[in-house]
Amino acid sequence: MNEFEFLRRVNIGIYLPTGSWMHRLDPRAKLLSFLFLVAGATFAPSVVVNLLLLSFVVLLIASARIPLKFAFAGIRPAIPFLVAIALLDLLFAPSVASGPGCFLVRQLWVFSVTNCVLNLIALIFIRFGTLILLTSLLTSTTSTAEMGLGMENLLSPLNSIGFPGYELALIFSLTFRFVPSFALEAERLVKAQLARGADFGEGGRWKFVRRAKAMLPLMVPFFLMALQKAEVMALAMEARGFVGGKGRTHYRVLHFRLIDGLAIVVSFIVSILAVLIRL
Amino acid sequence: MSSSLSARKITVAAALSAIAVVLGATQLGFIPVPTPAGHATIMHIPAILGGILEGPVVGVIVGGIFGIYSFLDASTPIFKDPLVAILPRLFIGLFAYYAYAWTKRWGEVAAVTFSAIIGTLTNTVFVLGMIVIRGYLDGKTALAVGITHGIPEIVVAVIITLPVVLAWKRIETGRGKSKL
Repeated sequence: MNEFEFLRRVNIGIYLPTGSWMHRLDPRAKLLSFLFLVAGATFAPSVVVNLLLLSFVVLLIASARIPLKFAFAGIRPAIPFLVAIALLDLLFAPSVASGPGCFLVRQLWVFSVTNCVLNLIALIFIRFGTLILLTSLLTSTTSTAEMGLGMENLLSPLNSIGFPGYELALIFSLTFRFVPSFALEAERLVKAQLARGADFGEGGRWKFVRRAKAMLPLMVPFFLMALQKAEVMALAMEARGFVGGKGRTHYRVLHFRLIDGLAIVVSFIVSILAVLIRL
Repeated sequence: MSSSLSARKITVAAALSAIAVVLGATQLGFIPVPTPAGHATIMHIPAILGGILEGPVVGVIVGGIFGIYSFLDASTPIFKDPLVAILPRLFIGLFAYYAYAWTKRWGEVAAVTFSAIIGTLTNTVFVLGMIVIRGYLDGKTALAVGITHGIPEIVVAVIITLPVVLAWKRIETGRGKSKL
């Protein structure tokens, strides 16, 4: 029955309040730094630089007093995929990684181990590690309430040029709010249908059409329930005089400090360097 | 209303995005199919629905949040690249909307079916395209994955999207009779 306990699976990273300096950073600083560092890790072309970036992030995690094992927790389910990608790349080495300076190190059966492919695989693995750690770092040092507030603040200057920044941030916050209750609803629906004798496992792989149809008694009520909840909430918002974000003030105000600015600048510089340095 | 996003569009966008997240987190969004990856995903369907029911802006937003979630959720490493996870997904709802709007004159069923097909195709083609552009896989493998994966995914998407839209529209118009 454990597979039907949905609520505990809907965690995009668990907030771990250890009271470190990072937890006390302004969420806007954390969000911006996260974005810069992700961009840096995504576009950094060299393996060495990526390795340095990875070590930098590990240091950050340690300074935020987050246990490394916790931060790496998301990697285990991904390992088979990483291995599969590595094998595929080795198989198709010439088309995936080619260019001047690429030579064959060894030919193992159908796998052509060239130095370029090894470089690519190392890049993928290290980049993956960095991005996972960065994500864990953000989600474990920032609560969802803080993230919503930070996003709202960051997007609010766009309101004056007509881009619905406040509304976008509100959508994020509402999504956070809806996810747990929808997970509970899904659980209820699944159990209710099972109690009525529905079989969600019928058909196996090949009869996927039948299996998709078998999901309908779950999917249709699920979607309709969600849409109805959305309608009710919209009505409630309008009944309370919701007119959008323009000119809106807030109860909880964020205060920018020197250390927040420093964090943003450092992240920016680190990511620019990561992209430009070709070690 | 000074903004292009009414309260209703905001809440529907959030609700559909939340569905995408729940489908992903609980594995409900994966239908086993006989392909190398093992399953077809229905997590892009909320983005298609967003485009059909509330228009292009909501479609893009739901696709974006779906992309952001798949970026944050670590289990499939290829989506740890935001260009692969987020950028292509923005187009799912957008193209689904246009597909729906342009085929509406041929009836609701045709329009929704076409929209679901286009939306799923957008997801498959753009994501795989991005994977190839970023150099993670080569063109031939991507094409093979795209075909073996894409076809079941399209079929599944139509099977699920159509009843949901029709049921919702029936609820909205208050009519009790089934049109099918």
